[in-house]
Amino acid sequence: MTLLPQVRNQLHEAAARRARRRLPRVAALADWRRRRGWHRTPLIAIAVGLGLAGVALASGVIRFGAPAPKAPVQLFTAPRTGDGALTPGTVRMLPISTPDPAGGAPWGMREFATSRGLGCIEVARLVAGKLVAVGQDYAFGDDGLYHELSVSSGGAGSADWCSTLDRYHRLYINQTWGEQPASAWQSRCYAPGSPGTHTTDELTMRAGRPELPARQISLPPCPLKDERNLYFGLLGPDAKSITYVLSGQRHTLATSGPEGAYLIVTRSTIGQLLTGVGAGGVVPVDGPIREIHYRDGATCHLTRRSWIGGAYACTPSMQVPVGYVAPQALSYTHPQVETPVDAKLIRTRHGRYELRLAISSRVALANAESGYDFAWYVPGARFENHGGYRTESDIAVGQRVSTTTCPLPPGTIHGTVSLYEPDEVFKHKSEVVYAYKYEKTGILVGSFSVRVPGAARTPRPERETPSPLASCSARVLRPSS
Amino acid sequence: MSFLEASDDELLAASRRDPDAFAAFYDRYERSVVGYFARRTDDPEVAADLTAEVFAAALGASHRYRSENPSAAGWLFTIAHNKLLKSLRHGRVEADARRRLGIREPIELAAEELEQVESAASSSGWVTELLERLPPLQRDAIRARIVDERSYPDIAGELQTSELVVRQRVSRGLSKLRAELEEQP
Repeated sequence: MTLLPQVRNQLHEAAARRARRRLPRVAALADWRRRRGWHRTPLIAIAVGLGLAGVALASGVIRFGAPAPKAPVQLFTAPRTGDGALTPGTVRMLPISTPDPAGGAPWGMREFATSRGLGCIEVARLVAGKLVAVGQDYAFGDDGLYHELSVSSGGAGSADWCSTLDRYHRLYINQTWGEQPASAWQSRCYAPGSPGTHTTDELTMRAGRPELPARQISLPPCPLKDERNLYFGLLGPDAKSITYVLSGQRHTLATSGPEGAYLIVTRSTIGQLLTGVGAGGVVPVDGPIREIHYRDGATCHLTRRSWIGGAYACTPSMQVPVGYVAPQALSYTHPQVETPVDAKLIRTRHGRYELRLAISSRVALANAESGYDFAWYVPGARFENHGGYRTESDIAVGQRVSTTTCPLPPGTIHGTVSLYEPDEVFKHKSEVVYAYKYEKTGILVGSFSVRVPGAARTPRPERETPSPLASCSARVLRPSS
Repeated sequence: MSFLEASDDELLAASRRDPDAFAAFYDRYERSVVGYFARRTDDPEVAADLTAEVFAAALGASHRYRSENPSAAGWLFTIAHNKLLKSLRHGRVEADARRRLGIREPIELAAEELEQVESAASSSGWVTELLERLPPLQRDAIRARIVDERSYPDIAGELQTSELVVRQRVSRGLSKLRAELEEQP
């Protein structure tokens, strides 16, 4: 049964009108094509294209175009915030080259470090020892040239391919990415089924500049034949090889170099569940890799719970990655970081109340994986629906750190500020359950409790209770009348 | 061809000559689209208007639709998202797509239809149920990326944060969802 019969009827009538109008136009177009010999055009174009390609191949010249532009979002340029800036002199090409399923330039990988203690890897096409994007699938005007990528280019979407370095400044990381463009360049076409109507550049640019007019540009879907699944990572010097299963066939692949690098590239398939979202961790997850073989003869058999890491990573149980030595933990204790939390009520011009929360940091934090976590809990809301704010920049000793909540409902709001540190390996099941169910809270810095004036509301269990942040989102999204 | 068994691709292709094909496509996605807007606008009349505009745009663009994916959900919800943003920017629901199709009558909802639209908003389903277990930042990121199928730059723009942060939230949220599922008996 339809919810909106009037809408359905209007659309049905409109579709009928279009169908009636279309018939004469189709006949006219067919007639025009007949008269112009249009059907021969593709054959001519194909012949010309093949001829040009043959000449280019015969000449053996690798043709580079202009270097790829920097990503509109500043990547690895801010030394004190986010992932940090690229550390000069740390970019290294890794000794790995994986053929593309459709031929052409192989895929390669490079590694670099950032000012905030992260190591990152980037994957793209490999030409003349450089990582490049290819002018195809709408990228670079389909010019067919190679465009060198810098770490600030973004490439095929390297944004989150970073992890904390171990104590000896080695990177252990595993990533699984689906439906990546074979061009190794994002943003000119969308995965099948999602043509989209903006370019990435436009959206990102507009994000900080709402005054710019919205230009609608229809983007075509990326051809499925030109989408790739990428499984790659660094398993460290102790790894010898991996075993993976594709189309029922087992393959064993030696890792490359002292980094223990591996890179598998496959075609994407229709209806695959891996749709661009990357997942990764201390061992490969969500991909075809089944085993990691180490030089000492040990084998890590991956399981459905391997993503948890620690004792869960492998069967038989073993701490992986083998050879990994955790970075020096900040190892602060509660007395070392404890400080009062200033919680000040602010009345908005709409008569509601927000909380201004602030602390003075007693320690310096300069790692991308450490910072302060503010959390506040609203009466009647589920625990998981708490509001939160997490710092993402360097913090100096004595620096004031603050945030403001969304408008809050009447009642007693309580919350905590805690210091989070680089991810640890979980040793016990209880730690895992706690950390992943309720967010890892880190070391308690301080707590607060504030009464927001007004009549306390009665929770309505029959309706979902929105989180404080969700209410902010709704405020942004609600259309003005 | 039975419209019930046809893929979205086939329905959209057939709708160029058969209005019933588009009606079948509409029936397939009406509840999802109405629910999408009803949850975001909290106003059944606005939701109905936006729904009409989205399907009108889909009909207008059906001849350009090409996909090797049997589902057009991603395409349709991309249109829905853009219509919502555009309407918010302009402070009113756009009617361009409907005007182009010659649809000029305003939509008037009976009391029963208003209730139905509201119920479409509150029918949460298992996805919402699962998402509710996540911390809000991760839940919003996953809803935007996975449920609404929006791009990372798009989400980052709306949340006024970097693409990196959105990716991390999605990745961590998915890990937590997986943990939840693993913990279930």
